[in-house]
Amino acid sequence: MNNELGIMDIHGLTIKKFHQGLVSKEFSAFEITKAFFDLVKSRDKEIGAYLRLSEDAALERAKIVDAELNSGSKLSILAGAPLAIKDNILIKGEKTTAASKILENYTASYDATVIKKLKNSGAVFLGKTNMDEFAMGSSTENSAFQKTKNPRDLERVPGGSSGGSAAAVVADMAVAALGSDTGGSIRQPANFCGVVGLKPTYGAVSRYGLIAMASSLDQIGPITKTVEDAAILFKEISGRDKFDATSVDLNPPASGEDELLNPNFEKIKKLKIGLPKEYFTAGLSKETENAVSETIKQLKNLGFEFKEISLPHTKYALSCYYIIMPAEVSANLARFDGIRYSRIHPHESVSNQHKSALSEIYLKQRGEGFGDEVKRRIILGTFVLSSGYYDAYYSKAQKVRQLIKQDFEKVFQEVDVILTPVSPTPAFKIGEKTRDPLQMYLEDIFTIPVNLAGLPAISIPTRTKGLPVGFQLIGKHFHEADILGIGQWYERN
Amino acid sequence: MDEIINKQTLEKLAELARIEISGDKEKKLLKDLEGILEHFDELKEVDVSDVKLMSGAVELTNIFREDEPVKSETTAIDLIESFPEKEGRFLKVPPIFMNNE
Repeated sequence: MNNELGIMDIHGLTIKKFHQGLVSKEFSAFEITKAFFDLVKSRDKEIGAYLRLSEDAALERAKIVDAELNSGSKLSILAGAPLAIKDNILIKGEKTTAASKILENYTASYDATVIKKLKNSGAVFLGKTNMDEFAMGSSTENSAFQKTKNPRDLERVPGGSSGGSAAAVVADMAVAALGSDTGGSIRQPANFCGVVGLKPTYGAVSRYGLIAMASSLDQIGPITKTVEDAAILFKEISGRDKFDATSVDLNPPASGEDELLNPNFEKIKKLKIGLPKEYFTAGLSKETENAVSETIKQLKNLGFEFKEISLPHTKYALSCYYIIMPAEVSANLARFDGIRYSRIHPHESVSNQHKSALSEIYLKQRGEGFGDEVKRRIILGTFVLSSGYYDAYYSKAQKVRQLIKQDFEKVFQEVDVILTPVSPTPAFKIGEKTRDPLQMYLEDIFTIPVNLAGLPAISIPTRTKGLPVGFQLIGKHFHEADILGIGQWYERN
Repeated sequence: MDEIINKQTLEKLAELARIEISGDKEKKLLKDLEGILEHFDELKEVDVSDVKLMSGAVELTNIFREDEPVKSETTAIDLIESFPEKEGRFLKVPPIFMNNE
């Protein structure tokens, strides 16, 4: 068993294939984990997907999995699987920074629920991945520490905010990864890198131990090489958690079959797919339009029925989101006071006796600790919640949010699933959209409505040549099985 | 064109949000915010007179549990350890009153 594992062995390795290789003893968990670190150490120099590696802990966990396998225990499908974790998800005893200077020296004191579940399954965590600071951005250029490049074209961004996770997966620097999605932060980078990204229904996955950005919108989800892997990882991390009051158990199917892992394709093929006309208009690039139309054709050939639908309030989703999200951000990020968690100049702030008023400390720590985009959103959130503006902005946006949700409820009486593009264009160049924040915000116009309505949605690569282009499938609340089912059928045919 | 947000408002907001904004960044921030707020103007055309305020995306039902203490897996030591500065079991914080001699 001492044969050297190389790049060839881990190229294209999925959770499924990894598990088969492990149980048939083609390789040990220890060997493969070592091979992953070897690859990451050379390849990540030019990509910058990881902020930190945790080699010792990972190899230790891999050894335990090998011992269990050798003792004849039945292993979970995720046992030994080398995963990458976005740096806003807490792993006890490990640094967790959300790519922010204000958390540069923070070490997590507990495990996020998703991490606890994955630890119980024996998964191995290779390291923490880069992201836009506090998950605010669509290109991973807002990280306080480094920029991540798109492994498919190093001059382009990997998307964001879970750009490090998507880049790690497509560059074979992890078998799969976890990201978080508040307005598209899993789906858009998956789209730009050519991998699969699932944003679960709001409440399907516990948010305990996820550094909160906008609590009514945030969800943790998988970024994987295949739809099948997304189903495997989603099943493992979902479910009711007493530490997140908004989390719920998925309804088990009446048939008792496992709809997520073994979809009933005869049933899946009968699902009716809606095409919202508001998502196929001006602003959509030729490459994206062509790739998505081609996919629709392929799905028609597979027997799916399509229907044109309308979601009339789509155009207001961006404004609605950029009022509600910053409002929640301004409240959630108030806890980062530069006194708890991490301090930027710890000794200076204590020893400088002459300028030590509390508000002075807050202003300085937060002024230096937060990046420009984070500050912009906190100020914007403070503004839309302030007396005199609350009704015109926040309260209005909450009502528009209701209308956007009702649009979906109406069309879901006629169709089962909705198909749309993920982003208006394929991956853009590094630096192309950093000057005007509004240009960057427009990246998310097709992903935001899903978060506002709390729906599940998945980004799946089309078969286009050149830069990756994905398509998005949106399902009804807690109907992840529908979108994962269509995705798995598409993947097999 | 009417400005929605001016220098004075921005400074007040920054103070409320406890964020120091350096002089050279203020102008750009003001311009960015103005652009974003102008974009929000489109919401004026939406009629919401019959719409109820929304609090969340997914219907939630009450979940009851016994009101019993549970032992936390996170210990006091874990929390003290994660604090930036400490002395023994004490958390060290900066002095918070102005020293006016």
